[in-house]
Amino acid sequence: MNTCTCFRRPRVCATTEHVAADLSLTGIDLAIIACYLAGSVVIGLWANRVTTGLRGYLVAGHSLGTALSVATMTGSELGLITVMYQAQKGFTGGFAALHIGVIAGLVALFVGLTGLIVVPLRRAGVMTIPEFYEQRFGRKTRVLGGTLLAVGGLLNMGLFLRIGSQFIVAVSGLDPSGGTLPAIMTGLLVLVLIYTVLGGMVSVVLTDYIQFVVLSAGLLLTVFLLLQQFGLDTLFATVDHHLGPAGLDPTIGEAGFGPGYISWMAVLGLVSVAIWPTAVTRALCARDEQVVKNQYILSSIGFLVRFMLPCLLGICAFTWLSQAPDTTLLTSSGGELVPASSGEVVTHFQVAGGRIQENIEAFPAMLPEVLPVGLLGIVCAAMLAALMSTHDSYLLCWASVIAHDVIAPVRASRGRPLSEPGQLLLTRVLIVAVGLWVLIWGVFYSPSQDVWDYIGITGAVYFTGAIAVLLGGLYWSRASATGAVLALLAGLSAIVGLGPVQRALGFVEPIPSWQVGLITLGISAVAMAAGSLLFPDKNVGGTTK
Amino acid sequence: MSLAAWQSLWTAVLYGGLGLFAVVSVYVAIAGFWDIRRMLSALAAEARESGETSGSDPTD
Repeated sequence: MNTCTCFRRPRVCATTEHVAADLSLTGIDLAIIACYLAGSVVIGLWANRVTTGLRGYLVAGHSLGTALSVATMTGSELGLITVMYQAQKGFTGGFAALHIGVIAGLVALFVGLTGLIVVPLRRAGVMTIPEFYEQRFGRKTRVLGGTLLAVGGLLNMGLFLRIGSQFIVAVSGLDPSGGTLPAIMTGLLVLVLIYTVLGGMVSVVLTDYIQFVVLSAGLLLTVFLLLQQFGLDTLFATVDHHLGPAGLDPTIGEAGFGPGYISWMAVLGLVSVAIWPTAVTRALCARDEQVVKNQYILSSIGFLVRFMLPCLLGICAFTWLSQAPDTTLLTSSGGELVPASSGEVVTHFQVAGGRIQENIEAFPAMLPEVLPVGLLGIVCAAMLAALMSTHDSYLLCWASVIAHDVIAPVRASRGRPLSEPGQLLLTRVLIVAVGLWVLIWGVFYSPSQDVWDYIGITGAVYFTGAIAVLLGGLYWSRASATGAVLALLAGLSAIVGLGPVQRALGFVEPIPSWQVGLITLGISAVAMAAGSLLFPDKNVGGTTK
Repeated sequence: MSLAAWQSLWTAVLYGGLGLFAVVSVYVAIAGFWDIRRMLSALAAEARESGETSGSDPTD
């Protein structure tokens, strides 16, 4: 062991084995993190006392005010997974990646001003989106929509725990080999499961509020310190040196963007705020329609920031690595890692002959080197807050969809309806089952594309069909149940966007996920229109077919 | 758009976004606390009502 001077703060490391064999977190940092985790769980458990009935458990009794709605929406949508994948986008795409946040913020503002989709859904008084499908198109559409929603959602959430654990491993300096990653994943999952299973939405909302406060303070502080340390001019100069014009201009395709990608981001922006169930559930929890609009107008800042700030952190990480001595930036070429030259996307990096790390680990690896003791603990607590607030919402959302929109309607149609306590128990069991799924998928699946692109395309399995069905169902009186079913089934074709599926189908050149997504969206829209016109409902304008 | 214009745009977006987010965060932190109190009152009232209907208080 010798003293390593390759970082701003000298660290003890074994240069021939691992760049940082010792923990990067001090006792103070660990104490802050432990206090935060314990506090979250205690408050979540306390919420169990005030939660009664299915309406309280799933939508907090439709009782959220504007500020609390914004806190819980931002808390659940600004997850650690978001921070990690957007930092990765900033790392590989430079400032051009900021367009994702700008589009998301503008779309959220538009939805807030017009009430598009979310206000009529809140007016319908439903607890989930598939419940609206039943109101408008009948029970079969609800069950199909709920099933596809669960499939897309479970695939989409599959990497959350893995990426969150990668953050902890990278920021703490732990050795990721052996059982470290699964052990951290299990520990985090158990903490979230405890309070989500018991307290439901009330627990989620209360912990989201605390997590919002910790997260926003931690994020703002980190960005402020990093901007002071690096300087915006240095960041621009580094991006310009390595990526050239493509690092600033998103319309240039070289950094992986371009007009098609931007269009796809506009679709994802709409989906994130008005179609994706975890966001829409917040609208459905709101006290009234005006709260829904206010919630979206204010949350547009959150939707901008949830992409923008992590992008900036990724750019800082890239600049940090570019400046660090003994650092090799690598790119993947023909299945092998070779030193990256200017203009090439950096997929991996190696510091001082240590472990070769993926580009997504650059941001957490930077934190211990640039943040002082104590603040590192606060930022780690903030990132754990981000992870927990997303996990609790997603676990509750997918479990409630499976219980409330798939199993319960099927049992009801067979003359064996579930009682309300029965649905509550089933939802709790499913929360645990979804948690186990996320753990298993996270251990065994390794994505072959950027995490953001993986998330976009897995979500597309559900939302490409859902966009057509929701827009048709809410705003087109001739939309029929047949059109809705066809549109939902057409959305399944988005699965072709996944790397392993393309390889299984024998595609020589991979098709970008944004192309698959846009094509699927077009097919779903045509299916909705054609199905509705060719097979109209007998009772047009009725509520239940 | 020239590269200088892109640089100016991203600088404005970054600083504008940071400022707005700081303001919204302070508002949500303060007003959210009062929203929590209202939510808990509403849930407690709902629990009382359902308790009266079923003959027991589920929050006990």
